[in-house]
Amino acid sequence: MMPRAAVLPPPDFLPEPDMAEPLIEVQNLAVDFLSAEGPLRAVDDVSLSVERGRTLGIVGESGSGKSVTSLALMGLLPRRSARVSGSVRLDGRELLDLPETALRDLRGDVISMIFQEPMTSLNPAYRVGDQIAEAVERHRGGNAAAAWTRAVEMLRRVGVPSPELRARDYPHRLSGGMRQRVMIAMALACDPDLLIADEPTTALDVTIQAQILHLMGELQREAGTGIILVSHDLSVIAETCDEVAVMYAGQVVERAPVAAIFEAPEHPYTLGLLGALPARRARAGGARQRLPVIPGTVPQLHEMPRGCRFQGRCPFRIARCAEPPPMEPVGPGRESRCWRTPLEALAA
Amino acid sequence: MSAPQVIRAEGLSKSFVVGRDLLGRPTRRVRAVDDVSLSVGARETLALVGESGCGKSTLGRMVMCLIPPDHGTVEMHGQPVSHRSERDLRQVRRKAQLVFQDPYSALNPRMTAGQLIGEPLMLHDLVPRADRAARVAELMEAVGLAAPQADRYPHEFSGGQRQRIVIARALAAEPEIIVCDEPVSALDVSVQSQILNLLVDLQERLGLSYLFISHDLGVVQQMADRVAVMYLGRIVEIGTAAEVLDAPRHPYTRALVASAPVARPGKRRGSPPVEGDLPSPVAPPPGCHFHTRCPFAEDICRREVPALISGEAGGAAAACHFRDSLPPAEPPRPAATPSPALARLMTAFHAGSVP
Amino acid sequence: MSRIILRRLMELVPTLLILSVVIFGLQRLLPGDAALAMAGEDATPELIASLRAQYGLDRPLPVQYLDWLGSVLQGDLGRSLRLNAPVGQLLIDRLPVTLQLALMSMLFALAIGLTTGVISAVKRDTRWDHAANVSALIGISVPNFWLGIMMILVFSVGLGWLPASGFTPLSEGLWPGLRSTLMPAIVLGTAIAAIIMRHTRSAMLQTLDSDYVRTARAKGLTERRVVIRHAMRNALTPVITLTALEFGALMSGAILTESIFNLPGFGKLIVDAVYNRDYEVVQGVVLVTALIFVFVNLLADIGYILANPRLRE
Repeated sequence: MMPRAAVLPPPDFLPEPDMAEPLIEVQNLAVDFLSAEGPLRAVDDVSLSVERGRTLGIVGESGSGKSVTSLALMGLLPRRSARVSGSVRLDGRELLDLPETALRDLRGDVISMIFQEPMTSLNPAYRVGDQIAEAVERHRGGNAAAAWTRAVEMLRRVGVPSPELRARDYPHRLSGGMRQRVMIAMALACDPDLLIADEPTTALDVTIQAQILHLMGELQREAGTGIILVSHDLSVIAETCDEVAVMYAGQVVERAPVAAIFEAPEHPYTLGLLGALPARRARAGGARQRLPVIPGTVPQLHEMPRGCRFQGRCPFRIARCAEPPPMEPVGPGRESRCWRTPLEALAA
Repeated sequence: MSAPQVIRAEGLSKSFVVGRDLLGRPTRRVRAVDDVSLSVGARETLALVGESGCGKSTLGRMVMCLIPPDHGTVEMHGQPVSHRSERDLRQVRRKAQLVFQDPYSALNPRMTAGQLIGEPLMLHDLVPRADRAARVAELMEAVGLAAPQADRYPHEFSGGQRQRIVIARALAAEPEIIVCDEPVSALDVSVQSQILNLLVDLQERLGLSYLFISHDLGVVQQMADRVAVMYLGRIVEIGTAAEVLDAPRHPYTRALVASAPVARPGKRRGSPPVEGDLPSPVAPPPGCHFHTRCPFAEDICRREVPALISGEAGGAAAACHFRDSLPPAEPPRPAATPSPALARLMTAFHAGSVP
Repeated sequence: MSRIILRRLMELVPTLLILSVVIFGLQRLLPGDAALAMAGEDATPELIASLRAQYGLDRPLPVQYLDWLGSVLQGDLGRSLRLNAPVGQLLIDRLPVTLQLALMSMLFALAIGLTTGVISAVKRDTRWDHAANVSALIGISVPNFWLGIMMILVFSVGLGWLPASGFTPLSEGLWPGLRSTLMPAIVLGTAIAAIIMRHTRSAMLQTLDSDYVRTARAKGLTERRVVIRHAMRNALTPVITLTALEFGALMSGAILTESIFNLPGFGKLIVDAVYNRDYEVVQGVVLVTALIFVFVNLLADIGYILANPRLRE
């Protein structure tokens, strides 16, 4: 007899929501832009997930659809010209079914975003303190004085010196690094669960980039925020992310823990990107070595090949690549969209 | 004595007016470049590194005599260039060409690729009219464009191809030195490596010299023979690429090298290598400009401008009072080295072989 | 900020001096002079010469200019030879008419231009937008005089709602006063409304696409607040400058409109004066009109500085 065993609930019902369910789960996300020549699919079959306190990096070159994906998650794509389909579940709630008003209540509160251009992302006509306080008032209510206090407090938290004074400054008085700190303060003012950072340091100098990335890491550790970091820079991704999704021509082509991506990439495009990174390279006999290159360019939206989208540039191409490869598991916690996995077999 | 340098600049300074009083008299100036000397030898690449506003672009344009310096001189092959001599200037402006960051705005959208590349041939009357089309085709092939594309307009090319047009146009003038101002920062990684390789090829084939302006240490590492690091208008360190990037002496160079992210997975903990913002170039701090952010700063740094000289051990010249007493710099973190299997796989990929 | 405004005021001095030279010079460049006009067609050369001497027209031009400038600065704009009255008095009599007409048509143009411009930008590529664009095109293309005549036919002759011509001063009642310039104001303001609308629309489209508007949306603000607080605030500042420049077009348009509706304003005064070679009057009207234009643009510049934090310091 095993009477006690029956008392225990099956493990599925254990109250561990944070562990069991990702903070955000995106499945088969697709974005079509309506154009004169018919709909153009800019993002196709994108599936991602982020857990609390973790960072997912989305890496890709221009035209890979990484920024469109992040705007789609925020619900910031123009409804008239962009059709978003698939599923985006935030804390179990389906975002794509929500009406605009309900989505607006989440934006800036539960899910926030910072952008690439700190120089143009703040409204030049208002003091930065007011711009942060505006988000607080919108989602937390309360009076203007309380919101202002919160804005100053946030500025202090993101490391802006003399925050009481800086809050009264207009954006043009601040440096790019300071403006990005203001953007982060604004995005985090309502303690969001998820922060989407679209190329947050691309426009900044390298010493300032190090400061901002460090700050984002600190704040994440304090608050347990989930972060999606969009970047074209594999080095930034390497130093900040737990998981990586590599995007190419509108699709995620590989998803894996960050170490796995750099140690054993399972998609030829990832492999090519890693090889093309300029880095410290030994110089044999004074002759400068050539950088490895990925030949060709990304296909345009309207001339996307039917099969694998990377086939035109891929040296590992075989006849089967004319059929679209599915995203398939290739190891623990990782997936790849390539007929030729595992790639390691090719090097043997 | 060694052969004269292709270009040598001595004591260049330039300031710009940023504020005027009621009568239009200048009240505030930015010292964009402050007493800078450098030289570039034949077939050599000197990289100019620094953050925005450090004066590297202004310096690049002064070296090629596009803007006149307030003080200082420029020599080409040991011959001083007079800014009053139209002939001198024409000569320098042909022999020193500029390739800059944004290939989208660098090309007149109403001219075809062929016209754009052929324009310098006409301006400097380098090739007889009858032979120009053939020369344009030759130049296009040299930069990896197909000659039949000469009839297309800039918007029909991708960013990388446009940068190739810009380079072909620079080559048309038969230069000896090309000032590359952030030539790949607007390009994607995969295209960036194509353009960098092209620049290296051209250098070896045509014996070009480069003054290579960049903020990206990875790119600089790839391209440079020597490196000069600028901070607020001054060169703070100059030496061979290995000296400056692998064993930086100046605290600012150290911060710069340590700040650059490295393709090595694992979250970086610990505080950022340097705190604080760049001071305003309108009112730079006295003494060593870097003392406000420098962990080693002492009284003398606030008072005296350090000379740009080599330390007792030789090597790179660093403008730091403590160049000989600073603790050795932490070695730069290397990027992850690929496993043998990954290395084989990369080789196979980039060789284009189909296993 | 006060420094910038002060500098702007100092820049006015050369502007005004050049303006005075131009006004004075243009007059003297025209064939014939006041003496000829006064003397009549059959006058003997001796008579003309003596008239010239009497009015100082035989002295060197620089002397005449300084003389003229001196009187102007003392408020003496000379005498109309034809109407035998001080020019200053003539201008003061006519100014209220033209000023009322100009202000009303500017208000009309701003009200229509700004609202339709903002709406059509927010509703980009919808029926509203297309309708607004077509109306604006018509508004710019339709000639003033035709619109004026059509309105008189409909609202005065047909419906009898508004007077076809003449001016009632505001002192005789607010509504009768406003009523008398309502139709001319609409005629005069239509083209300017269309121009303001098109500029407002394109400025709004630009700001609605800007990064900071995207930031505002990412904060979860309502679209209404995004448009009014974040987009309009920045889009409308350049419209201030445009409006001031259009004020010049408005003053010249007033000449034609005043003749259509037979309003006793500057327009009518200057047309009569030109026909009669009544130089002092022409000079006076042009001078005052130019001063108004310069003053309005000065106000616009100050407004622009006030609305722009970057310039305010």
